[in-house]
Amino acid sequence: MQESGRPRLAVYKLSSCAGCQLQILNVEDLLLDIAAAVEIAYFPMASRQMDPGPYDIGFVEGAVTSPEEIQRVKQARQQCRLLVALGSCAAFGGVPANKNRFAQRVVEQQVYQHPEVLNSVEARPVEHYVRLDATLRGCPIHPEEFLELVKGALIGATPRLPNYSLCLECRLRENACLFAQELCLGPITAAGCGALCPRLGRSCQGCRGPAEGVNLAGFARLLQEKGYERAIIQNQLGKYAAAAPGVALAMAALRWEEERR
Amino acid sequence: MSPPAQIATAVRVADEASWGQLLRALAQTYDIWAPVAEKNRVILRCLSPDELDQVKLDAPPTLLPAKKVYRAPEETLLRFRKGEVEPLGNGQHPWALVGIHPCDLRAIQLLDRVYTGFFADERYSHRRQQNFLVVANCLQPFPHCFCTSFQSGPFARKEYDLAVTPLFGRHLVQAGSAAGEAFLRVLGLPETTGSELAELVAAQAQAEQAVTRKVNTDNLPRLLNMNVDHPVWDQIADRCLSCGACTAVCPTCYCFSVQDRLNLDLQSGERRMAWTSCLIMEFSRVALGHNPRHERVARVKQRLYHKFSYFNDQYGQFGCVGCGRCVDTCVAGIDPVEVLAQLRR
Ligand code: SF4
Ligand code: SF4
Ligand code: SF4
Ligand code: SF4
Repeated sequence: MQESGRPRLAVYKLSSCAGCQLQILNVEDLLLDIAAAVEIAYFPMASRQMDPGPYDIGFVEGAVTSPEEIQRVKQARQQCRLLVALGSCAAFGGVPANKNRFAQRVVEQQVYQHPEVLNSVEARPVEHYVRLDATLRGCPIHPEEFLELVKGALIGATPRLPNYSLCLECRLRENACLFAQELCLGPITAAGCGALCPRLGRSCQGCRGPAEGVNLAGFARLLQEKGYERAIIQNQLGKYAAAAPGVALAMAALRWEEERR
Repeated sequence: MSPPAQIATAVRVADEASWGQLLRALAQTYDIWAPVAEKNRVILRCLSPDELDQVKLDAPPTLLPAKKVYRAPEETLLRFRKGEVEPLGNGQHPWALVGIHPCDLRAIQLLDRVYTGFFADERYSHRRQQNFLVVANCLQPFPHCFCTSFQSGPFARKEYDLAVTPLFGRHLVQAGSAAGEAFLRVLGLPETTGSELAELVAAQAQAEQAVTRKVNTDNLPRLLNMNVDHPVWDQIADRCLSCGACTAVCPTCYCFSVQDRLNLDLQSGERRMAWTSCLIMEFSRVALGHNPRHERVARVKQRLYHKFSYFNDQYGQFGCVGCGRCVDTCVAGIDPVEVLAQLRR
């Protein structure tokens, strides 16, 4: 901490849409309220003033997709006492990790006119390169959870963020279950959003990534039993969390079982 | 089949108008909780006095059972500020539950054993004390019901204030407690001298026969304890997603967690409780991170052993009432009736 005595906060951006940072800005009023508790030292999207490290808490938004970003995330780790993944790109590769299923050059050519100027590698979650102290899930993150984390850091306690299946949350809110009609990722996705999509009659798209201890392989198999094609299952499971632990394995198991038949 | 002697013999007949009158009279003393159909689902909720015509007596099981009345899925227990504690009340108005199924009534009795026994829960006890229970007997069981295996339905036997059976366009009402009897007297609903009791007995027999799903409960706890390594456990652990939905909707699952939440000033906050489940990973984790139910198969077993063995050890009754909600709910199709049958094969 600096002479102010307030913890210094940094927000880094890698490959991302900036939506998670925007969520922080959305609660900025409240943030200042935490007894004016934190000093926002480095937050390029919010302020031109960029004070040098070290910082107490660093938030990394985005997947790591270039050699330059690999360096940046390693530097962030060195600069910050606590390092937090801000959102599903940083946590599970998010939307950017969808490209990993294809050859680099192929995807690049599909999207960019001059792929030769790119210097891009496979999209990885932050934890692929450096250790994390906490993860904020979601695409985008939930402002409440961001505040919980900051409060936890201020009093030195690990915040308890939901890490169980969305179905538990969804059932407790008495939503009509959509699973029989739609491919809902609720069973294996982490709760914490208040079952926002099912509440509005839309199936869960898995934006918060897999919950701890859920059965990804069993879920992929169940979807196949229900008649979904492997490509659809792959697309859904990978939509926001292609690089989450267990997803690739679940898909590999499905492919293997299919080939064995 | 149960002998007819187990149902209250005095029967009153209420037509549409006097049934409405009964509900309105109840609503003067109690907040009415009842099953209502809305947004293509059936939920148990508190009705305002002008919504009483929405009470649905022949509804399928409500998404969440009656336990939510006594203990909401999430509740604030107390507030604190710098070491000062402000306890919150136990809930204000007395409640009447109208139209709950017999299995759910039995589940309340089981919850009573848990929450008002050795470790009495003050809020729960308080809320239960100021309670009027109107059970609706089931004439036509729903696809997953297996209540007859636990003698918890389809007709209620005891521990209700009133039982109502909608039969041939009338409501046949029976009192099961002094409070229920007094209520009917005040209402001035006369006892019938007609053939209604015989009709009820016949309807009960028919409803019982319509419940075809069965659990063989002979020596069931022993059977379970001798089969901890049966292959069926790995088979269902392979399918179970660990989502916890089955326990959320179970009328006898009572597990909850308690969490303190600080306000932004870091000085004040509140203590909250929320339902949780043995199927989820963090449930059994202890300090320093060890988790005796780290493997899914251990979590899957915990649920079914608790229902059909441990609950019995502790309370001398099974912890399942056969409502079928967990079966309705499980997207992976895990069905206790099927699992228990496999143990006997
Ligand atoms: S709608 Fe989706 S999240 Fe909700 S209970 Fe059904 S499967 Fe689970
Ligand atoms: S275990 Fe299933 S059938 Fe038995 S009481 Fe619970 S939800 Fe109902
Ligand atoms: S089955 Fe699990 S969640 Fe339900 S009461 Fe038993 S331990 Fe608790
Ligand atoms: S609802 Fe089914 S899949 Fe989910 S935890 Fe229960 S048994 Fe497992």
